[in-house]
Amino acid sequence: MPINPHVLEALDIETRFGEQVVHRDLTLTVRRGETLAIVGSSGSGKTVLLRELILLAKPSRGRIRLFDTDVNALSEPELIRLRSRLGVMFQHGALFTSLTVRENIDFPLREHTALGPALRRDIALLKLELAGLPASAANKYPDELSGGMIKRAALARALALDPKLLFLDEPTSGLDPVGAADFDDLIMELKTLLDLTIVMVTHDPDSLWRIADRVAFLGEKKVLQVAPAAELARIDHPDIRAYFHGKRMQQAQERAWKPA
Amino acid sequence: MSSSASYTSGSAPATVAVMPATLKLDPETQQVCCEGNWTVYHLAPLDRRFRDLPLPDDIRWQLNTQAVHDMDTAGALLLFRILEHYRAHNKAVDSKRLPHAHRALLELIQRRFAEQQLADEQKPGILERLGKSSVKILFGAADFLSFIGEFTLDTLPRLLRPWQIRGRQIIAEIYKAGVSALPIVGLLAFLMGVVIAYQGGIPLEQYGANIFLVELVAITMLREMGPLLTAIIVAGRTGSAYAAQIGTMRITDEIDALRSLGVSQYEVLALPKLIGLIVALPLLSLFATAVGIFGGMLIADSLFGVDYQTFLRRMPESLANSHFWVGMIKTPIFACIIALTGCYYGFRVEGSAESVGRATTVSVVQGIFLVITADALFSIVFSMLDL
Repeated sequence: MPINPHVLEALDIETRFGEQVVHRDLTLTVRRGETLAIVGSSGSGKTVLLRELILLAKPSRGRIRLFDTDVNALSEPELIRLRSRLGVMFQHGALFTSLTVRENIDFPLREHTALGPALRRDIALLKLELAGLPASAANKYPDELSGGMIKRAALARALALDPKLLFLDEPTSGLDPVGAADFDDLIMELKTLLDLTIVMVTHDPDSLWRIADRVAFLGEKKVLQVAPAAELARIDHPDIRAYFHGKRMQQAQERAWKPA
Repeated sequence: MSSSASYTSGSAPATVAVMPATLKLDPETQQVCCEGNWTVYHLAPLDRRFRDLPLPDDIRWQLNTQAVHDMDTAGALLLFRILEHYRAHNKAVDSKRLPHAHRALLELIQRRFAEQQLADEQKPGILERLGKSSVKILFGAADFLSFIGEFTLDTLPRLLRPWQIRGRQIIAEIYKAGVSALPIVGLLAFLMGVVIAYQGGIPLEQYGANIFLVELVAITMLREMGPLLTAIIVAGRTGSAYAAQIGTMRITDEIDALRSLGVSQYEVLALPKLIGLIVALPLLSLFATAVGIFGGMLIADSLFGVDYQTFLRRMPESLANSHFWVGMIKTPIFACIIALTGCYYGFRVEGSAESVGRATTVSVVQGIFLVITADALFSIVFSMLDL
């Protein structure tokens, strides 16, 4: 059996809410092992697309294939199982506020495996370490953490079950520049370490230039172009030009070209 | 292990036959052989019993993971624990000749866990918990008093400028707490009247004293049941809503936003509720009392031969007005208790969604507790005053 180079394929997606059409004939594929960034101006349907890709919402029409499985053909229990194989880090963390950080990471392990408490605890602490949190954060509640630590804890929870495909919704939003750069480094490090494929929605120009292998630009209700950021910046399309020739984007590009 | 193999095995649960992780000792080659899927979903059986498995009998054994189908960090972590287990029994196994991917994972884990022995979670002892909760209750009472003080300081001056009070909001609160509670309060009061008349009527009938049903029903409803029943329903219905609303606003930082906009949170949120309830609760109690007496009257007429006319004529003749006022005077006090406990627990919410739920529950329990306590105090005072 030839190995499909695509982990995720969204084909001819149409999404509509009543009269309003969000996507029309949208097609997006994610290659194994790449970091794909989804960008687009506000209201271009990035978040809706992400929710469809992580199987929380169903497109009005079109097919989504995940790990060579046609999602439309799956029953609800199979969907639940498939969802648990995706790591998702939500924009605001979405940590369970009534659980400590360790219990948050432990939660999917408890639900989906029959591992003993000692091993589960070590796995949770390992994920905490990998996400760059000190062990002292393990027994804290989310409201005792800073914004950056919440992002890291959310990442640790997303990694709890060792997913191969990781979705990040605006991973660096709300972080200071230093924290954002650190977080980008962390994502790159984990990607090689854990052999991940990453799909992220982002507004952060620095992330686009530094960590995305390819960038998918959403506009006119579909994916206008998928290409590495450098190529995308040269494409002559009014929307893409407007996006890539903004001042902050230019500065980010200059920073990215500078040797570290 | 190539990265592509890991996708087909680890990530497509529906299609691949699943082999759990296993461990075998091969004495001939002196190898500890790992087989199967060393991924987080397939570790449970081995995790449960690896300590019962036989140990290698020598220290020259080697670890062999050639037959492992797939390994993730959880699998590597279990392998690490198994190796530690061997080491603890002085039977360390040579793990140098692993496939590259597996060695990288194992090294990753060794690196992370070698530096620090993980801090144990500390569960507080029973004495500590007892002490903590005692102090909490003690300071909780003081805290409630300080809330009342703060609230009074903030709102009392405003009452002197009544044109600044938010009339529209007060009317909305009266509607929510009073008008929309009419059906449930009415139904329960009616049933209460029926029950009192029915239960009291039977012994009275044995003495031929049916006519005293009038006093029984009217006095109980007027003095106690009407106000108390209403207060309890309102505490459950409205007090909890206050706590939930204010608590949620605290979590979403709306209270802080109010304050930073130079508006007092007590004035906007608590005062209209308090005034609204002080108006609504006496009216609701009046309504409940009337409906309850009507319920009792219905039973007196249909089962105990005391018809409506007799009942209604006897009521003003045999009952002093004080019964009515004794009941009514309690209701504004109950309203204050309910509104203030609801708001207090709402304002004390910290952080999590769970604490909103807790605040809601506690506000109801505390509200009802304080209402009944106040009612008992009223009884003592009234009996001293011979009312």
